[in-house]
Amino acid sequence: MDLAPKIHGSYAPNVSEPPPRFLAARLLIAAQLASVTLYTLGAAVPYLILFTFHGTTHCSELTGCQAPGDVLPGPLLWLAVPAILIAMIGPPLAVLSLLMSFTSLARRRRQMSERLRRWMYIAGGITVVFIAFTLTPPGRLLLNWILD
Amino acid sequence: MTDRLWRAQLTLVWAFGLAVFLFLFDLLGGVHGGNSNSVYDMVYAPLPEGTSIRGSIANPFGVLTLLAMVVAWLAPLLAALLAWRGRQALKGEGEQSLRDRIQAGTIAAYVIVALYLTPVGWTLVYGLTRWTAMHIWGEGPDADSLG
Repeated sequence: MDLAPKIHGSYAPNVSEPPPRFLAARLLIAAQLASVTLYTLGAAVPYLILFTFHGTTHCSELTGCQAPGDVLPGPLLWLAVPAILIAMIGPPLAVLSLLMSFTSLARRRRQMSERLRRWMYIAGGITVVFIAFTLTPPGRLLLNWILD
Repeated sequence: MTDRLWRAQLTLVWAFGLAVFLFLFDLLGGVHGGNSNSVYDMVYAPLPEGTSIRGSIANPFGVLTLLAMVVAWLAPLLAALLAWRGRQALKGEGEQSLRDRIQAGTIAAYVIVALYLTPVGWTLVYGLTRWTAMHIWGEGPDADSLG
């Protein structure tokens, strides 16, 4: 038996319903932008500074192959920890986040504010670029550095 | 213009997305062709010299790859059908929210069709098919004799 009281009509008749807040959509945007930012700051930028600008890769004849733990100083290594996770499982999870973006935009884009909608498209676009980058040779090189 | 059409389009998009998800997951774990780390080699090149893999029908990962392979093969046909049906439906009248959804679903179906005109679609099909076969029958000269 259903014990919950049945509410007919509005719960508070004199108060207008608040506009939807789209908390899940906002969290999705934040997660997409945060993971791409962490990947860039924790993996791509250090690799550029440590190796690419010196004209080498992480594997050279002088030093052998250097894993992130060998070359990054202590505090920076903490920044690399999320980047390592994102480089490994980020691309498949990014595909799932894109599916969620699509579903949310398809169902409710008209109720969203102009700003929120624009950010959904931007975050989705950046995520597509991220997935594409991880499949290119430089992206694979970064993954190999991290898996070393 | 019906809710069923939108549901079919949504199912197609999620099925295709999950196939891409499994492709990327297979790319991360498991054994691949070639000696370099380029995605092209991992999908298309033969296994490194002297390497063989034993296949097994009982591999749960293989079953998921098999499902993704079926989706990857059927997706272009279904996408073409649902894009066309969506286009026809959008010419008629309909409730605004349903119209919005079918519009999004139709665009997504067109995008999937367009992906199969690029290497992205073929690589998805080829990679998932090869890895399914590899999971079930194994690959390489000693695939049958491995314990």
